[in-house]
Amino acid sequence: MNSERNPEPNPERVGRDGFLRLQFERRGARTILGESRFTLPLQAMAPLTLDDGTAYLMLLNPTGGVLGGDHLVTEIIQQAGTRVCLTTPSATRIYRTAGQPAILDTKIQLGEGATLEYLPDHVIPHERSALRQSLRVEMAAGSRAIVLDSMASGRVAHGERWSFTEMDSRMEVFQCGKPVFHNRTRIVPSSRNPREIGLMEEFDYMACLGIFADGPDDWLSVAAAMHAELDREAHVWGGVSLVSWRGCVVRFLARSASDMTSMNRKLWDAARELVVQAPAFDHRKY
Amino acid sequence: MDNFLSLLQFTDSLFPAGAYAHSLGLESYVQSGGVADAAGVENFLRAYLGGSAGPTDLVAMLCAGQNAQAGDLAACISLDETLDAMKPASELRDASRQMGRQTLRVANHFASHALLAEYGDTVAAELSPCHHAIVFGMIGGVMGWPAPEMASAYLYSASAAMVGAALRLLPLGQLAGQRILWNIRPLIADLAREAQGKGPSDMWSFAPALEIASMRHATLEARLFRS
Repeated sequence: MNSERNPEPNPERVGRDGFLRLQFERRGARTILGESRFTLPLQAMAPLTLDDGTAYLMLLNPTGGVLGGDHLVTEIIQQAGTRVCLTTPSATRIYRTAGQPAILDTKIQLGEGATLEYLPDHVIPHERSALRQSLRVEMAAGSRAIVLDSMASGRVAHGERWSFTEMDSRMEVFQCGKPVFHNRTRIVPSSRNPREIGLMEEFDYMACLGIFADGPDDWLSVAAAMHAELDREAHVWGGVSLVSWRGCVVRFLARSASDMTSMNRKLWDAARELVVQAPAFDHRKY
Repeated sequence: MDNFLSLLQFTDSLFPAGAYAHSLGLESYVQSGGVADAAGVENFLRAYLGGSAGPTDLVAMLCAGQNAQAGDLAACISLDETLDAMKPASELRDASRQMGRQTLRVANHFASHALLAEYGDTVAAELSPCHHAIVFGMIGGVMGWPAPEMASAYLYSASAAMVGAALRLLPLGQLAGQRILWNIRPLIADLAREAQGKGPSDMWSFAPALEIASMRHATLEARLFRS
């Protein structure tokens, strides 16, 4: 593994450029991390290998959050047949900025027959913070992906809700070059109150789980299983729908971080069992 | 004048696009008690326009119009696919597709134009989803409708359809419905202005509760609308 020096800082620029590139390869039944390059503040821990051969890896930002002006780029390349599960050790905090937004760009390429589970913890935008983030997932034939995007209205425990400046979040998933899911959420609380009807209403947490696979999966059964998980939990409100091409999306709202985290975990476990055909496992995160 | 009249025809409630069959999530809200009066309908309509129809469909519609004016069918189809991927709620996606196909069928019946005919063949071959915003924009592009009027008319037509659904779901009079449409005019004007000059990468949405209501609509025991 290599760490690379940050380039010389631009004196007119506030914030840092971070870069992380991981390449996964198949070795027998296991997936290994063949290449890891990064510039701080991005880092990745050494992966664990799960019983099913999946490489389970935590993406780190040792500074604990993202500052205005930071531009952090993550590139993940999965070679054919690899199985990778990526998460974070905790929520990503977006700190206050008086100027430029923080920018997080992530691109993940799945080779033929590869499996991705991408489930970072939620984003917490602090008061007067601004974030522009993008996630692009490119899936080759026979690949599968479970992808999570979730956020809080702010530091709710501090009574801070919807007091950030801007949140602009994109998730784009392509299967064999065809766009199957594009979600761009743009929230500017000063111009539109997120508590209005049809938006977030009384909820402070929002999650979107996408499940995609180029295969013969019975998507109605997958959607029914996700719906059953949602209906078992009275403290969240959500829905499930099939996308137009080999996949389904779960979107739900929650009143607390624990409710959202718990539901994310249940949905993930169910999706893992149904689509990845692998059992749930102990994440050892908390 | 001919342009203006054709724009009126394609946005008139009499036009057989099939909008009358859809509430776009309003029925779920009415059944749950979340919308119970004219004020609730107006707020719901504002969420729909400001969080979905304006920043997503309207931008796509105007881009499709520009592409059609340039004779670029491939760009229209690409935009159609992108819009399809931006509608994860299947009832909302199906509603948009059904209205698009109906509108395209009528347009190709009497407003013959090579680009629309070729697009019709593409849709018939299931090579493009045929969303209403794309079809409407393409028709506007080949007809030469001015973009600002086309944008306002598109949103007004969507608003009138939503109010029509509300009048069937709730004990509201015609006057209450007209008051909602009257009150919503400044928002329509703002959204129509904001959408001008935007490109496909500028499309966004933020109406999660509305989208969830639509996702849950299929599970309602008794339904008057298809969405």
